[in-house]
Amino acid sequence: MESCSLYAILCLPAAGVVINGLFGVRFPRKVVASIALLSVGIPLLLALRMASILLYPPCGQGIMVDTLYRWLSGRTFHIDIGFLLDPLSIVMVLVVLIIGFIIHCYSVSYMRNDPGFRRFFIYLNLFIFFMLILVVSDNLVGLFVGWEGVGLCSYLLIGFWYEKKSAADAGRKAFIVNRIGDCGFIIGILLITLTFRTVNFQELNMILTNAHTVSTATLSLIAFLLFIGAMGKSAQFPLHVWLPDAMEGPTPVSALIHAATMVNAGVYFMCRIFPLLEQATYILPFIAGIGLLTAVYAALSALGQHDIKKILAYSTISQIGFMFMAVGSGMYIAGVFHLVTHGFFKGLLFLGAGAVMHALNGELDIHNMGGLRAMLPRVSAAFFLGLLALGGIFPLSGFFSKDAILWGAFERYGAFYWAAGVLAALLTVLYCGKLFGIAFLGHTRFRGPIHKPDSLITIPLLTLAFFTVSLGGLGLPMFTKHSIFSRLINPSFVSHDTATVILTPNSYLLEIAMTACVLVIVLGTLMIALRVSTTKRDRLADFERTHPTVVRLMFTGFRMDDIYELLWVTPFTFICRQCDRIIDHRVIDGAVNGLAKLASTTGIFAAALQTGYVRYYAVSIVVGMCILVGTTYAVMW
Amino acid sequence: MIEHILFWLLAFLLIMSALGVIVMTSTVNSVMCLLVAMLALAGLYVILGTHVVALFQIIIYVGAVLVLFLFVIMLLNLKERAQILTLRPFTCGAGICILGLVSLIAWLFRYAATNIPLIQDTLAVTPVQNIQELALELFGKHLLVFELTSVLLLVAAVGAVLITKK
Amino acid sequence: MGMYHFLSVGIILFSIGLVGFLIRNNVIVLLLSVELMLNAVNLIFVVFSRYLHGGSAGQIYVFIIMTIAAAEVAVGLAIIVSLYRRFKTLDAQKINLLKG
Repeated sequence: MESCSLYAILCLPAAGVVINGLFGVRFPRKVVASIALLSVGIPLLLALRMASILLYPPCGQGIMVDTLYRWLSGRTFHIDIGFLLDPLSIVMVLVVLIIGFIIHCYSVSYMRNDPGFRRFFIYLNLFIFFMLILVVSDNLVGLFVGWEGVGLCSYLLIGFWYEKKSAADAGRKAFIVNRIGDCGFIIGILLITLTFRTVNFQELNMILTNAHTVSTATLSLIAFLLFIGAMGKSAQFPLHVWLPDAMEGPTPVSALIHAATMVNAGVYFMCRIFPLLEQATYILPFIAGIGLLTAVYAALSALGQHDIKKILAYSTISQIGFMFMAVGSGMYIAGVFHLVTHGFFKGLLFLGAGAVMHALNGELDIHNMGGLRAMLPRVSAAFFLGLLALGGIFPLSGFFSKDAILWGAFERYGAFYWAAGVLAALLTVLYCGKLFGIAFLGHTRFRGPIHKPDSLITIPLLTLAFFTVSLGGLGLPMFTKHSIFSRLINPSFVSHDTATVILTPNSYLLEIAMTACVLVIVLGTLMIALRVSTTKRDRLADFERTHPTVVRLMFTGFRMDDIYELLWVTPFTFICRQCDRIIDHRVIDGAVNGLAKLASTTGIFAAALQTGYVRYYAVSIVVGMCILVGTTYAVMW
Repeated sequence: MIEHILFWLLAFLLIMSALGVIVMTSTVNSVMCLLVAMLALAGLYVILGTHVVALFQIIIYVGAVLVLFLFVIMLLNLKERAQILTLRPFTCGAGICILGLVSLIAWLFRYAATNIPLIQDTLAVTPVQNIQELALELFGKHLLVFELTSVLLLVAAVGAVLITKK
Repeated sequence: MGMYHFLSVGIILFSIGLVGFLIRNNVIVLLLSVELMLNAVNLIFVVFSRYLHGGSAGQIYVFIIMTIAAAEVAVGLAIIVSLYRRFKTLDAQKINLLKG
């Protein structure tokens, strides 16, 4: 029964794609939208039911494994199409489907006037399908299929308005940078196949936890390569450059793909192969370092942006950096928890930004907005809740997850690392405050009519706001490693000894003290940020004017695009141009033209034989006859 | 005895008239020389004992082909004097080729003759095969060739008409 | 008279025909030279049929060759007539429209 539900969950979005793709042109918009919503809504109900069966006692804490089909089989090695549903997968499936459904509802209203309405829902359904395959697959290759599929859908959706050159370029950039990560991923899969003779997650984890003879160096190399893949997909430094540009796509796309689901695939993947990471000794610090670096870098860049969506994009990069910090500190459960909460509040923020844009007729620059709190009260309340969660303020969900991460970082890597993490959190709250203060508070700078959003936009916002607030409850009771969430998801990380930590009163008190400290600092920074951006705006402007280079650096993301342009794009285009000039024009064209010239020259020479004189031909006949008779003579001798 | 004399006479006539064909300046003169050559050749056939072939030689070649030649020459009503010799390198090359060809063929004949047994070595004036046996072989073993030749004649007739049609 | 006498007559006749073909300009004389060559071949066929074991196959081939020669002369003269109409000359050196 359960496997039936699983297949239904997977097939229904695909069916939605097929139906809308083949027949959608003839249906009116309402029908297209209902098909799309049903193909996500029914799987959502099925997934909730399956979650209740698998996660809760008495028959709970279960893991379901199902193998559909043997795809490749060799003598010692085979690849199956199979599915693994342990608590981690179920949580991811629920995240994808809940947020996906909410965003589908939102898009019905948001994309109402767009001529590509049907195409949009086809791509969205396709994305849901591939994302589900990614999270329920039980081996690396199936996961990679989903990985590639979501990359494709991301490209299609970023470049949705493909007539705009910037959108098409952004889609291409996303796909190419993703591909660079995928190179590492594929080589990693190959190495795993060579070393372990299997790609199945459960088999891999079993081999790794029991005795094996694979050297640490090999394991580190494999983990490094797979992490490169995760870096590309989850937009970590230095493969993050595609995410800010990906804001060219429609806002629901940014909310679904680039905040809640696809960019989390890297984190999910790292959690899936955590035994490998545990044993590759140099990789975990590396992951944590990259995560930290990205978090700080992205938060700084977010401070310098004007575009509301770009601020949220850099904020996403920064928060995923936090998730990788968690993974790097061995706090996988905290990382996954932050993934879940981040999905909800970042989705909320993006949808709110979309509502704001919709109301202000496409205005993106926050310096042209202001006083939105009065004009759009519900939207700005939801937005504020999202920002509080982002900043990690108690009692919203972001607080629980972020503090779990910081505490884990302190435990593993010491005070310096923790302080850097706190710095990142401070920067986060700074840009949150700046954003809210400039865009929503104060008096309005916007000229033009305001379009009040309809219920299909506000209801999803409020739903997400509800989740943002309530999911924090899953993190209780905190300060132990036995929160509700960790108990839910623990079976996925059985070999990881989260449950056997001995709590001394000292560590308990230290944790409370540090958390309280962070909370106070964060709240204070938020107040300061809000005050500065509302009342002391002229001081802000003065500061920006006197430090133009710093501002410029933060605005362009520390000029990463320019660096890449110099480092890779220019040499590559140079080589291509040279190849075109030399190889294409001279060598290949020369060869082909030369061949033609050879044929024509040979023809000219051969044509000289055709003089047109009869007696000339007679001579050639006689010559031929001589040769023939002479050959007979020679043969007979 | 008489065959020997006749042979030498006819052979001489044949070769002289053949040379005349290619040397004469007037076209009609060439055709007349060819006539004499045909007749001499018919005589040679008689000496060889194949009277049937000699008959056909005279009927077909002299009676049809040469007459056709004369018809066409008179039809064209030529007035000019033909030229004999032509470009020098051409002639030399032609000469060398012919020398080589002829010597090769002669050698081949010698080889055939020494290694293939002959019926008899001397002449006989009596006909070797009478016409009845010849007819039996022509319409028996070589019937297909015969039929195909008749088709070819038809094709030639149609073709000739077509080519000269205005 | 041995076989060689007749054979040498045949060879000489053939070469005379060949030489004539190669050195004369007039197309009618070219045709006549071709006739000479054909007759030489006829002679050699008859000689071989007369002197070697093979039945009367040689004479039958001679009949066929004569027929074909007659047909060929007919078509050749038709071509010559057309040529004359077109070029107003019978000089082979002046006709080279088939020049490639």
